[in-house]
Amino acid sequence: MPSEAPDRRSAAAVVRGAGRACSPALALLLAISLGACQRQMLESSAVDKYPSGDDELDYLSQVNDMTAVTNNDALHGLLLFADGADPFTTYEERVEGAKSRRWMPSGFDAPANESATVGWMAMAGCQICNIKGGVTMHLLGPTPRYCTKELVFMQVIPLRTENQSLTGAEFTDYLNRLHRIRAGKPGEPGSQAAAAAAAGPAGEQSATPMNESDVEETLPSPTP
Amino acid sequence: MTAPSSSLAARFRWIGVALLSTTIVALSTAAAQDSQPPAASTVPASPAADEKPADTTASTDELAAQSAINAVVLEISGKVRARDAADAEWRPLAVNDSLRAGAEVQSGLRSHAALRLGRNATILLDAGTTVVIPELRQDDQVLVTRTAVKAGRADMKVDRVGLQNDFRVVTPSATIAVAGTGLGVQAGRLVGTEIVGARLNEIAAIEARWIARRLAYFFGHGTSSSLFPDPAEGAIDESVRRNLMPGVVDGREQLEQAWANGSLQNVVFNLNNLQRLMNLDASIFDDELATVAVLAQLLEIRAATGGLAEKGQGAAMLAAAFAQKAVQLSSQATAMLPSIEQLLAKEAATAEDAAAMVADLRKDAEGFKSDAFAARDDALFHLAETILAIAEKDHEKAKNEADLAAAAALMANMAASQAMLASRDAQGYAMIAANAAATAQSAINDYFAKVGQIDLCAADAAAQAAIAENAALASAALESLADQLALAIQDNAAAGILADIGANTAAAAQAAASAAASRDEALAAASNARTMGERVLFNWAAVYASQAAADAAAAQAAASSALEAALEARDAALLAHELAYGNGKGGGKGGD
Repeated sequence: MPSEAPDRRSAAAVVRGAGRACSPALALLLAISLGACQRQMLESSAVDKYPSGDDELDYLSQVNDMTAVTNNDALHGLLLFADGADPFTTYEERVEGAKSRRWMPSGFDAPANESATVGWMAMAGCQICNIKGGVTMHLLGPTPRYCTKELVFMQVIPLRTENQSLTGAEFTDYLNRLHRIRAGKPGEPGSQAAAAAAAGPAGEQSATPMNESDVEETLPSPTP
Repeated sequence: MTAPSSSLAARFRWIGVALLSTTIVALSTAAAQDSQPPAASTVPASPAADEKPADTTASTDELAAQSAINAVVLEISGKVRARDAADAEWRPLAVNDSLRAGAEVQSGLRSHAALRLGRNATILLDAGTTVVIPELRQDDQVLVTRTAVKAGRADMKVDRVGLQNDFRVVTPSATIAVAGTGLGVQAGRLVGTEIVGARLNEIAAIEARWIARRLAYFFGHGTSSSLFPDPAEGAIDESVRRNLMPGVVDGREQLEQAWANGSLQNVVFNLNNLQRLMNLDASIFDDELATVAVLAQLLEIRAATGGLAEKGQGAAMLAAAFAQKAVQLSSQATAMLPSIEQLLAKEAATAEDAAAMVADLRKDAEGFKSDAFAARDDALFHLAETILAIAEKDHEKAKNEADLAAAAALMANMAASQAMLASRDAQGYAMIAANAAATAQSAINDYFAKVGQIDLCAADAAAQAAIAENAALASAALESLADQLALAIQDNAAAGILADIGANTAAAAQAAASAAASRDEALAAASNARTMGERVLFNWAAVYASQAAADAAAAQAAASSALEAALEARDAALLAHELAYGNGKGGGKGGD
């Protein structure tokens, strides 16, 4: 079967040739993959320009136009959302404050102008809105992965993974949706009940069938 | 939402609301496709750039000029700002601020705002919401409202106010027409546009709170004939008043009429309904009720002072009428001023002429006076100055009488007048002489009396010899004076007077003779007259001649009397001279 040997040789040569031809492509693919793992780094954050709480609206407007929300901006926005003010002046102070509140993992050391991950922002959102989550969250506590899954389940955010980032407009929408979650929870600051208590003491009429504000103002809750 | 059952019910309600809203959108879309242009219907997943407010701002400006309606800020919480256009500066927003079409409103975190859009809609902006109002106007019977929700959540409550509603919500991915009472729209980058049930109760509560804060304005008369000059306020009142005051008034006109009649002052709001509506405590109306009480007091004061105000108005009108009349009179007087000035100038010229004439007369009188003084000085000497003045006075009197006689004589002929003049002169000079003689006699008598006293004194006391000597010297001086007087009378006055009187007497006699001759000639001519007319003329001539002859005779008699008086005066003067001279010579002791 002498005729088969050249075929084998040619096949091997083809394989070798293909291997030689594919090695640059593989290298390029590997390089692209490694580069894709690098997070986006922005030149500056909006909080650098508007650090004061009085500049909140300007800060939100600038964040809304950014391609990605940075760690520094996300921390500033979440602090404003949670407390109405940002008591910190530097990024490091904000990170330490967020760690003390368990808004992010203790090993968090990302740069200030790096794009923030959905994971730690979801973790902070669950902590701020007092979202307990499911069994895993109850067992393991708030983690970026499961907090993200919980918020996706609650339709606060669309289907994302904890390593993805948000654009500035998505981050502001994220804060708005967290606000609606918190407003629907009695006892939480900013909730409907708290607003009624601030306007005046709630009377017996709050239980009348006409008062449907608690129903209308709340996003559909997935939990029974 | 704590109990599972209520949570389940809430979820079903929310699903029901979502289905209802979807149905509304579907119906509105179908209706829009039937009657509206395609752009007004629901536009699925259109690019956000197509719905940018800036695209509609230009046409909004044109429409706003026709019948612009403003938006009013009902409530603010947290940080909310607005700008009038996309390229305008942001400004903080406050309650009761007014926004026009094209405005953009942005709310911050933990904030919300409520706006009343025109007459029929209220929009509640949730936290982190940006809304643009590109169109807000009334097109005839249609209230056109366009609201663009760029991000966040906005709840719309659309009321039926008797006009057709054309309320549409524009989102980055859809245009929604509100056909029902309202809906909520959530727009964001994470999920897109969502339609939820509107928080109508919270919006109603916000409206009630706002109108409760403005009760003082509603119950004050203000400057408008309507309780609700702002259409937005009127619409809010229309939508919540039935819950505030059930059974009291049903329509806005009825409410205004009730307020005008004063029957609304004692109305207390139905706080139960209000509390049920707002889920609030009634104590927030304490200030408003106190304001109503204060307003009632103000109304009483106004009623009490109304009469005074009417009187004041009447007085003001009367004063205005007087002022108008005064203006008319002033204008008339102003018109008369030129004629008055001309008259004054004429009178002034006349007065100046009169003054000039008076000056001339005074000058002449001064001349006459100086002449008279000169004549008097010439006629009298020293002690006879007073006597001469009296003589001149009498002379004037005699002159007048002589003038009368001369006038009568002039009617006959020139001869008679010459006789009359002569008679006058003679009489005058005679009187002067008589008076001078009398005065001289009186002076002499006085002199004698003094001399007698001096003689007695000299006889009784030899020591008065020196005095007697002095008296003698004075007597000598008087003697000299008397001598001079006598000489003057004799030389100048008496001689001339007597000569004149004599000449005049002769002339008067001649005139009398001439007059008699004329009378005789006239009588003869009358007797020889050939016609009756001539005879009458000659008879008249004879009569005149007879009168002239009589006057001449009277003048002659007067001249004779004057001559006699002059002679007597001369004799008296000579006697006085002699006495004076003789006394001075013989006594030698007169004078003091």
